Amino acid sequence: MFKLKMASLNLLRNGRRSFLSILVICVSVLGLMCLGGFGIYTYESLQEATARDTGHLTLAKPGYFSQEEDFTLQNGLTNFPELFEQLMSDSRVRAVQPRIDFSGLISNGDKTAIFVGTGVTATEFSLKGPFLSLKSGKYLSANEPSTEPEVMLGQDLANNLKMKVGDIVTVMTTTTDGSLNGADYRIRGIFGTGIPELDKRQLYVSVKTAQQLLNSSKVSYASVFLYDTADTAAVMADLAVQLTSLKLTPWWERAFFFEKVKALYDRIFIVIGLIMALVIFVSLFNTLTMSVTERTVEIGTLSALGASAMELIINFVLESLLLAISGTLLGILLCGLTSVWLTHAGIQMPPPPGRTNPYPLYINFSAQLAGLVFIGVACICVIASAMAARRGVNKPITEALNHV
Amino acid sequence: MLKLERVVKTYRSGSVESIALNNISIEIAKNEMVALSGPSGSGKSTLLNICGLLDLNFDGQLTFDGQLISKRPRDAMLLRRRRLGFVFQRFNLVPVMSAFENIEYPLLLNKVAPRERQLRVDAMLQQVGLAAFGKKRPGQLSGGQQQRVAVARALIHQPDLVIADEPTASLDSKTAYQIIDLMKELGQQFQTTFLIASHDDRMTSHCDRIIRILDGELVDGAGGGHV
Repeated sequence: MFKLKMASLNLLRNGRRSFLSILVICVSVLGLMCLGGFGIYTYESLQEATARDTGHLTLAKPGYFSQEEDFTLQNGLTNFPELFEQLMSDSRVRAVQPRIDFSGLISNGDKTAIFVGTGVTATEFSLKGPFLSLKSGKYLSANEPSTEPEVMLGQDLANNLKMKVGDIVTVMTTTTDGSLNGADYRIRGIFGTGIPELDKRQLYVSVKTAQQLLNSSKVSYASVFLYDTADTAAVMADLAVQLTSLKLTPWWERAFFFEKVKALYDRIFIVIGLIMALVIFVSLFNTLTMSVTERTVEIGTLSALGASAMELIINFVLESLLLAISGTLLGILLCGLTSVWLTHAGIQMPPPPGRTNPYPLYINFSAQLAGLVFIGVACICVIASAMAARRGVNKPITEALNHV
Repeated sequence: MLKLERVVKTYRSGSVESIALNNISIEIAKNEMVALSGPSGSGKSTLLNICGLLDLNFDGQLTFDGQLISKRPRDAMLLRRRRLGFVFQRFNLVPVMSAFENIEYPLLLNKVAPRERQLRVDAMLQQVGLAAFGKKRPGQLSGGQQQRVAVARALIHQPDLVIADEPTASLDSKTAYQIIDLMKELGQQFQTTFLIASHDDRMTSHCDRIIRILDGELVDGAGGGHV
C-alpha cells in the first residue's frame, strides 16, 4: 500500500508528463480495441452469414464438393425424406434444408443467358433471414401451384433478359439421364445478393420444380441449421457416427471468404498492434527515463539507506503499471462508448471488393480483447520501466548522490 | 567498531590516474563522535563514502565489528548498509514522502512491524521537535526542519554508525548549532558512533576526536595507534 501511494505521488510530481503518457496509452488502447472490435464484428458477421448461407453442417455424398459431377445429381442424396426425419429428431437441430445445384440456359424467347440455379424450399427464405435483397416481387410460395411453377431471378440476370416480375421465362437444362429438358416459369421475384457475379447468373426455384426439371427425386446435398452455432462440432461428431456413408462438412470449411478476410484482418491487427506496442514502449521508456534521471539523487539516497536495486526498480514498475491501468481503463471506456455510439449512428462502410452492398460500421466490445490488450500494455509498461529504472539504479551510489 | 587498514583509493580518467586516498588507516571506537576535517578536495567525502559502504572500489581493508567488509557479497553489503545512518549536506529527503514517512523508511527497510514503526517515529518526531510536522512534506519545511528530519531518519533504526557529510553546511549558524546539539543528544541517547565530514569548526569542536586529512593522506587523529 505504501509503495502504491508513493508511486501515485511520484506520478503526480510531473502531472503533465504523466497525463501525456496516459493519453498515449489511452489512444493506443482505443485504436487497438476499435480495430479489434471491428475485426470481431466482421468475423462474427461473416461466420453468421456463412453458417446462414451454407447451414452449420452440410451433408452430401463423399466427394460432392471436391469432384466434378459427370451429370447433374450424379452424387445426389437419394433418401432425403428419411434423412430429414432422422436429423430433425435431434433437439439441437433447428431445420434441415435440401438443395439442388444445377445450371443451364434461360431465355426470354429472344435472348438466352447462362444461369446457375439452386432448388430450395420456400422456408429457406424465412429461415436464413435477409440473405437476399428482394428488389421486386416476392419470395417463392410455400404452396407453389403445380400448373404455374415459379422462379426468382438475380437482378442483373433479369435486366439482361429485360424481364420483370410476372413475366414468363423458359429454363432449359439437361436431366440426370443426359437429355435436354425445359419448362416455362413465372417470375415471382427479383433479388440482389450484393455480389455482381451472382446477380448476373443466379436463379432460385423450388426443390420440387428443380427435381421435375432434372427428372430426379434426388437432392444435391442437405444443409443442417442449428439453434446454436457453438454446437456445430458436437452435432457433427454425433452425426458422423450415425451417418457413416455421408460426408459432413462444417460451415467453417466452406467459409472461404471468411477465412480470407480473417487471415487479412489478423495480419493487419498484428501489424497495427506491434506499431501501437512500440509507440507505448517508446513513450513510456522516454517518460520513465526522464523521471529516473530527475530522481537520480533520490535513487542514490534510497540506495545509501539500504534499498535494493530490485526494490527501486519495483517502485518505477509500479508507477508504470499505474499509468498502464489508467490509460488502458480510459481507452477501454472510450471504446465502449464508441461502440454504443456506432450502434446508434448508423454509419455505413463502403461495399467491400466484389460486393455491391455497403455494410454498417459496428465495433463489438470484447471483454476478452480488453483483457488481452490490458495484459499486453501492462507487459510493455513493465519492460519499459524496468529497462529505464535499471540504468538509474545501476549507477554507482556516490555518482547518483552527486548527480546534478 | 570501524577499522580501515591501508586503504588506497584511485580515480582513473582515461590514462590519467589520481590518488584520492593514500594508505589510510584509521580506527573508530563504538559511541565515538569523530570529525573528518580537511580542505575541499582533501579526500573527506571519498573516505566517508568508503566508511559508509557507498564505494567499495578501493584497495585495503575495511572492518566493521571485526568483520571484513570489502570482499563481502552484495546482499550482505545491503543488510550491513541498513545498519548505517546517513545525513547529507542537502538533506536528501524524499520529496513525495511526509516527514513521518521519511523517518519511517529505514524501519521499513529493516522490516520493523507497523505498530512499532508508528510508536518509534512518533517518539522521534517529538524528540526532534517536529511532532506537529509529521504530515508535512519536505517542501513545506524549512532547511533546519528538513535537516532535523534527516537526522531523525539517520537515527530512527539505532544504527551502528551514522555518516554525516557536511550536515551544517547548508544551514545558518543558529540552526547549525541546533542540529549539532541534536546530533550530540541523540548520539548519546542511542549510543551511536558518528563519523562527520565537516570543515565547520562549530561542528568539529563538538566531536570527541578530529581526523585531519590533506591531499588524501592522514595528517592527524587516526586513533587506535594506526596513524
